[in-house]
Amino acid sequence: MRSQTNITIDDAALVEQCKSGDSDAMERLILRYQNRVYNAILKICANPHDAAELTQDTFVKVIENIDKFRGRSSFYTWVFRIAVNLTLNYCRRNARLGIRSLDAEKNHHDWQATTLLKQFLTNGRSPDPALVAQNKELCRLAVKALMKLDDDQRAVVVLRDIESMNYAQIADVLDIELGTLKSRLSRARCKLRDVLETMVK
Amino acid sequence: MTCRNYKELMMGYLDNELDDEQRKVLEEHLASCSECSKELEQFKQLKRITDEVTLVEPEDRIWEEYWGSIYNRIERGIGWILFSVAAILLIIYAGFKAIEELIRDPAVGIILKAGLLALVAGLAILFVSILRERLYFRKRERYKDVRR
Repeated sequence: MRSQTNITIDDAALVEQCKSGDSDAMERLILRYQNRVYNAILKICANPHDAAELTQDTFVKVIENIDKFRGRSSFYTWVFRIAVNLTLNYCRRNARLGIRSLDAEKNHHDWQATTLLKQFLTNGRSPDPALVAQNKELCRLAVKALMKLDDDQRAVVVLRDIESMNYAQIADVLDIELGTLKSRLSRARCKLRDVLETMVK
Repeated sequence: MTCRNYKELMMGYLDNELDDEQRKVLEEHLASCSECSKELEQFKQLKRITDEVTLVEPEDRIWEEYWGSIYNRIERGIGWILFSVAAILLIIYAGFKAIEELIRDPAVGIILKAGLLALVAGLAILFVSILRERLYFRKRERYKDVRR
């Protein structure tokens, strides 16, 4: 019964407990978000090692700054704002240093995945969802296509389709206007479509 | 409104972010424009692909030493400050002891005394600072085990 009530304690209550010095509450907040934060960071930076480090940086910042968190936005978007800012800075630094993920250079695609992708993009019958979910190669292709977007565009797609945030939350995380978000998302998806189409050609 | 302007509405449609009014505007347009309805189908498929990329569970290995290192990093920050301050004070004290007789000798000029004290303090701070940097970079350097 106790664990039942524990699950339903919302972020705001846990944040209050953290501020009064309860380290268990902080641990629970981190456990609640660490996989999702890691996943979003990984999809933006495409480097598992650095994603783990950036996730850690994120929560170090969260612990250090929790006292300054005023609750103007939700804890959820606050954590992701820290994570996305750290990750975008990391991407910019890498771009400046000319570092690119080795994975992005590989040009060989799995035949089955390309066929699947082709089926996806043509308007005909959609392939079996189970088959799609199993196909890691298709995921890899999609991640590769994502990497061809600008960092800012990629962040928008990741937060929307992978983290399933709504527009208001994304605008809050990225600290941009709703209108900017809408046009950025639309540009990002158009570019993504073009990239995927050239991949199957 | 041109077809280009409908693109943002299409995105909102896919993401369930349209109000009834906007949805009606888009649906009316789609009914009369085959180009746009074809494009919407494409975007639907695209969204299914990006939706499929979702969660890849990180390996447990990532979280194994995770908690330890989060708190380590915070504690280490405090630890380093205490260590630096204490080390500097101790070295200054040792240096002061070494030149104590000179300092207490009334025959030695005040400027020389001040200079010696400043020298000791400066050396102490430099020593601790370089030591810290050495230790820090050894830990941070990712390629330290790679022979060059």
